[in-house]
Amino acid sequence: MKAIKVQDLTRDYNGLRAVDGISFDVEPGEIFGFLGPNGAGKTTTIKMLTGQLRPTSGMAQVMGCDVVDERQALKPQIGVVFENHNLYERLPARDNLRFYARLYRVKKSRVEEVLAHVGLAERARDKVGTYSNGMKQRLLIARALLHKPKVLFLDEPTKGLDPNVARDIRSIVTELVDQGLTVFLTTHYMEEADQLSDRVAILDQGQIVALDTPEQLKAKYGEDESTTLEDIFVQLTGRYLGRGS
Amino acid sequence: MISTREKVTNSLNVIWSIAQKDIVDALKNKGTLINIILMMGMVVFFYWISTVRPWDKSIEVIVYDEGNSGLFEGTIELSDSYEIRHIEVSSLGQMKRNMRHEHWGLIVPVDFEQILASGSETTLTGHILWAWRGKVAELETLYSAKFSELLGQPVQVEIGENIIVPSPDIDTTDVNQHILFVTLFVAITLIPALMQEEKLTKTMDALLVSPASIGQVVMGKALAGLFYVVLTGGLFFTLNWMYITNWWLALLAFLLCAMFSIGLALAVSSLLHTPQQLALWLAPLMILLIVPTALAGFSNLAPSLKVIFAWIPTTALVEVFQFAMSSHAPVDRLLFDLAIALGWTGLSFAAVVWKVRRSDR
Repeated sequence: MKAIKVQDLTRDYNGLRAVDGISFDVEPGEIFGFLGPNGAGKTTTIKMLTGQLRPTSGMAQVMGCDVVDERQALKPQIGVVFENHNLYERLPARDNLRFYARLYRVKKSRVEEVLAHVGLAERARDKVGTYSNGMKQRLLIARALLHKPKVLFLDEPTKGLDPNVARDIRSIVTELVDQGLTVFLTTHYMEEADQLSDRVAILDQGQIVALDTPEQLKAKYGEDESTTLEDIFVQLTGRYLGRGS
Repeated sequence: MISTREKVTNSLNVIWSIAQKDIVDALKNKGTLINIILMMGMVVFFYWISTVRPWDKSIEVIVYDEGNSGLFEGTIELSDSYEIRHIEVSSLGQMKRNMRHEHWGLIVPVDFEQILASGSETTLTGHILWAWRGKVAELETLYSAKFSELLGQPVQVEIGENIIVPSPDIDTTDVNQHILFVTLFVAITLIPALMQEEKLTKTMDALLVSPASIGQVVMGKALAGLFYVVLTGGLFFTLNWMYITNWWLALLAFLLCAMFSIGLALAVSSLLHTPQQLALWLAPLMILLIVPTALAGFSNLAPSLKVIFAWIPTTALVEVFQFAMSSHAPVDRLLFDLAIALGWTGLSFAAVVWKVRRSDR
């Protein structure tokens, strides 16, 4: 069974096509990089794959669950780390997680486990509003892992973080994949995508313009060995800005 | 395969978890906390202004002077700055209809002047409203002292069993409007704020990928709102218990009022997306719902307006509350009011369900 299976997935907003008939599969235990410029349709795709948004047409399954018809069965299978720090800032970290633990019917001891896993056990009593961005990001990961999902969606997980914290987050992600988790990653940091992803899809104007391993993409589109994933990204998505070829 | 019972239990667990989180979180949010305190304060204020009335040093007496003695007319000031104001009526029925707040009705017997002149012990029969039935002895003492001073000789005021239960046609207090206003205001300021905060901070996105469905999120918010509505209502009934003649009807009216207010609040929160929109629409909405309740009681109101106001849910609810504070409830009017309140509540919830079902489109 594929971890994620997408066929001809399309989403229109008020007559505008945000996602235009995309198809791809993600294997279990894979880190799948989903790249694209702003407005390319990455977040819309994540929203459809996580059951928040109904596709206009096409089909998507996550761990065998249809994202439209089997939404409730899908939810325990997925964890989502959102781009924004959507936490209850007036509540302590522990209470934030305990709230979600009740929703997922997860034991309280699991809350302590994930807090320790992301290195927040000592600050668990503090209100989230007092946390740094890096700590909030760790807490978001802890929340997404609380119910032991099979697929983790990471939307810009290192955005705005200093290099040390970003490196910490990346190492947590690698650790999780080593434990068998599938990761669907969107990022604007090409180096991060190159370093983490097993395969990468590049999305432009709602369509997938390239999909392969970072090495294969560089071999296919690059001019020489010094070509980076960022060069490929700009080459494939920068045309309408008048900068690409 | 999950059984239906398990599904219901899971659903209730999700709804209760969301409600519990919001009940606690509301106390940590300065805005909602201020609203809650403000509403509690308003309940106490309403009680103080309509029941305690500590500034009130006048005794208003509705006098039915059977023998036209003319002894009680106008306003008479007493030694301790108390004043007695007389309102004369021509029948016992008129006396009962005119009684409001702490007014008391006095029947002056036909031969009162002769009794006074004979110097024999004088007794006056007083009537008080149902709400003051617990203060008979206190009022008898007060009125006896004041009337003895007024008439210059010892007078005994006897109230005894002369307790007047208000007629359903007469609005003896504004208490029925106060409970509606407070319930409506708590729901309409609290619930949309809870929903909007989840949307603005994007925590709603996290909730919607959790086992919670949008319907359960809405129900959780409604339950948190209901908690504060019941809390405020509990305080209200604790303070104003003496007005109630029919507790079952009062509780039914409160339940309907709470459901209508919550349904309206949910509809408002699903239609208005920002605090600015809420601030803009809240005042006109409240005016539309509150003003007719005050005007509906005017006897000289245009018949066409009377018909229109009867179809407004808040007017219907105020009348049900009034019936709960009256001698009896006219069945036809009660059923009409209940149907209006239920109908509007159903419409509000239907609008919410319709909007919620379209939330992923």
